[in-house]
Amino acid sequence: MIRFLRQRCSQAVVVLLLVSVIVFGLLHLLPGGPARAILGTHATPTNIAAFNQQNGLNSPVPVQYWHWLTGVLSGNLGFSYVQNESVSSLLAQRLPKTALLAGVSVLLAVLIAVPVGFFQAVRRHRAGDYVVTTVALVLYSTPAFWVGILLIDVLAVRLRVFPAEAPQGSFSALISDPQALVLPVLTITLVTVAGFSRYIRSSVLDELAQDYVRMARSKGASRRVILFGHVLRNAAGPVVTLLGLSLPFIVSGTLITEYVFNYPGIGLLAFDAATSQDYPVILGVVIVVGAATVVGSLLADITHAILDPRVRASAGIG
Amino acid sequence: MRHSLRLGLAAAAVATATLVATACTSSGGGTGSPGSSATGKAVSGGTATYAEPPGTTPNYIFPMLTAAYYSVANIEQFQRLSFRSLYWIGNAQGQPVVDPSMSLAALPVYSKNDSVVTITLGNYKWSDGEPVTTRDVAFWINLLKANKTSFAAYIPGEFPDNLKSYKIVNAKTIVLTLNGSYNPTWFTYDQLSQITPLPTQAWDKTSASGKAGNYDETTSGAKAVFNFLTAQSKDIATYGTNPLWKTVDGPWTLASYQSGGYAKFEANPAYAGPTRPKLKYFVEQPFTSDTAELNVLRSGNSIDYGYLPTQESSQSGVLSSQGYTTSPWLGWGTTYFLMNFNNPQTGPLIGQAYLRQAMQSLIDQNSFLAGPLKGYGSTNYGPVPVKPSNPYSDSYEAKGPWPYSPSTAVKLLKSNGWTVNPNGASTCTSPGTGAGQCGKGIAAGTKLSFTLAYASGTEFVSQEMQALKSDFSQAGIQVNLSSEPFDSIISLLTPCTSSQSSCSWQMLNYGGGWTYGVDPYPTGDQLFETGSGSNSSNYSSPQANALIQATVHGTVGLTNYENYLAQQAPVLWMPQPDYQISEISNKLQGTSPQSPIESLTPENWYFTQ
Repeated sequence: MIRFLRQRCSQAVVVLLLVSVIVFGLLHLLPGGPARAILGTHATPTNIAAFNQQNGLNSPVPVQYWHWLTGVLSGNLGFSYVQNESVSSLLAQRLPKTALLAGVSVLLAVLIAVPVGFFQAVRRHRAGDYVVTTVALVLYSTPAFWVGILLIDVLAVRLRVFPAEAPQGSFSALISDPQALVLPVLTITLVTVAGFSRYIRSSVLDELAQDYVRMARSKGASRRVILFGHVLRNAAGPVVTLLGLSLPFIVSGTLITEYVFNYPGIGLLAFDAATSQDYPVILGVVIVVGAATVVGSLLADITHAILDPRVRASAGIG
Repeated sequence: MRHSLRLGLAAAAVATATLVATACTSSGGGTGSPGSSATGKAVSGGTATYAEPPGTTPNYIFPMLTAAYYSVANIEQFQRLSFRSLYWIGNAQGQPVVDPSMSLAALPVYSKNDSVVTITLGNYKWSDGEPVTTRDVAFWINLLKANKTSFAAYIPGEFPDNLKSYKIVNAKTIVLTLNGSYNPTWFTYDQLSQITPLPTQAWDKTSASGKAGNYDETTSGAKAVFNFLTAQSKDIATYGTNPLWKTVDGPWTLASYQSGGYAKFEANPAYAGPTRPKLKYFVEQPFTSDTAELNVLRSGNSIDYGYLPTQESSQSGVLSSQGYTTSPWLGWGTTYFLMNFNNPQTGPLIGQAYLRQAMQSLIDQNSFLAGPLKGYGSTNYGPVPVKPSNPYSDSYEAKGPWPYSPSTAVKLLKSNGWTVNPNGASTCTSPGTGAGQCGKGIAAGTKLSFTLAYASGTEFVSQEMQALKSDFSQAGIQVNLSSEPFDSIISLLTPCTSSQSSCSWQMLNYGGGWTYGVDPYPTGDQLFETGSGSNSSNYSSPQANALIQATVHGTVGLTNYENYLAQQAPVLWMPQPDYQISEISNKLQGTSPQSPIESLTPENWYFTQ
């Protein structure tokens, strides 16, 4: 197991390094450069030269990258000259908020998708399955921003049941106003639950066709025991993988929802940074999302291995 | 000495009286005027929430800020709430003139041929009970002298370079001796209004644990104090708790702050200005998209003072039914786009005044106002804004020497050696420098064709540029439009010479122009004087230089300067969009007028039942 973890972590470091090189290079290919973007139209050439000097932006790109990388290795992700704050501090403030939004949304999505997917698999090709499949397909093919806008229009503007905006301020302010979290959470849940339920339906259908299910039936096992004792556990493996691999999607995918609801999470931070050429923040977010991808994938593999002895055996994990 | 002290005083008094009188007889712009007709009973307390548009969030509290933090959001809408400048721009009529009642000092008195300035402070107090004194003014000056290149508003040759010495007469009076004679209006508006007295007793220190002293009185000490305060200002996590920022002379104290621009102010009970806050709290709430802000406006009343994106102006009626009043906020600036006088190919064309005038005659400003700007703006034909109403704008410039007239454009071209080909490219058929000829550096057969790069992302700018291309074709002036990212466009805003690769652009429109914020007296010394830092079109005219210098050093007004620049069209003047279409809750009163230099004065606001 340790060898497996060591191997996967080494791969993760290489992946993150490559991602950072690519993003750093691409950022510096953007026209204009950050100095004028930050200083605005009134800045004089003297202002721009001083800014570039202070921020090391007049050094060659490889040198800038080396400075950034050595900083990261010592725990310093840089300083945002747009936000006037260290990148680490910004990430520390925004990540918990996005984790809350993504975590609650995904939890709800799973809680809804598992029984729905199960129901569809068990009742496949019947009216209930067709109805749920239709609803799922509609939700699956609807962009998150559109779901968000519809929810705002109906529930915030017309009915005035929930606020159209997420709570501002600190994390405690965020959780102290749960009503204001409803619409952003609902938006992500609705667009996520459709995909999850379809995946679970397929996974359960696959399991129901397995020999062990026929064997259990022939031995007189009850339907309940077969479904919840055997099929659920085996169908959960791929679902766990799906969840792990969805982690980066969820982290970055909240961007649209955060944008629509003015939710002060990491997605909005990334959006702001991209529009204002805030290089240090963009890189910081990329590293975090990259790390989430790698960690998500790693966790999925480990969990899958724990759940499925066949995976442990094939990976040589003892 | 040509002028006696009495004459100098008289001139200053006349200038000031003229400004104040003109200000008092004019009315501010704007259609709606929330706060002017309060219907309910005023109540004390409450929290007013102001929506910060995308990209305009505050993030720097120390008033002597560096270029990276130099913005309206930081200066006028954040720092000024707590730290007041010596002279406050924006009067009760919404005009860009000094408001003595809101200023920390009485109007300055100029003497000795306008080379000596006497400033007398009013009875303001810091929130710790200490009076605001001339020592606090000297503290600012000392910090600035030692760190001037770090201060964003510093322009070589101007304050504090033009300050020979200062003398503190007493706690209320300080005398500045200048290195020459200056126009009192220019010096008061563009130099003294930048001075922000700082609390010496709390800020003149070099470490958080150290005691305040007189460190600023030496250059090294002033540098150390500046570095300390700058470092503290970069620690935004402590904005709400750092004792430094709790010593204020303005009506508001920052109570809490979150990265991203969320700021909560509480009323300063010790504020000694003319109007004490009636609200208990004032909140600035960031929005990173217009859509999110509009959704919140449509869904209820959590925003008391928001804005309507221009492209969504049709929503005004909906918001009216939600209890908001639409109130255009007129900014103090001029909008134009640039033509490069030093471009190797088109520079000789741009150098011809008749051609620039012909192009100006092809810009249909009224049509742009009615269409892309949805009626939220005003015509603009020169460097001095016409609106909000002000004592500087002259009728010649306001009317515009080159209003929309395709026939005038065609006539100008034909009478200067061009064969006009409408919907094609007009051609120079009479080269030379004589009367009726194309002009210096223009060969026979030269076609009128330009590349105009404009900033993408703003709907009204794109629409204006498409319309302009069509309008220019009426006189055979081809415009090849190129849409580029805003950052890419503004990266070219640097004076250049024809041999530099950065001078390859021909026409450039970033969708703006110049906002007269910290330089509210619109003299153009930074914009149109030969070699000035923001003269990005490389315009150079001895006559314009002389007129600009007269507005800075003489006692003449702006009339000659503004009319000459309007007539010469060194840039192509475009309609001036309103700064913001404000949406203000009908429950919130006292918000009118909206400041021409875009500052916020929530101490005047109050809720009604």
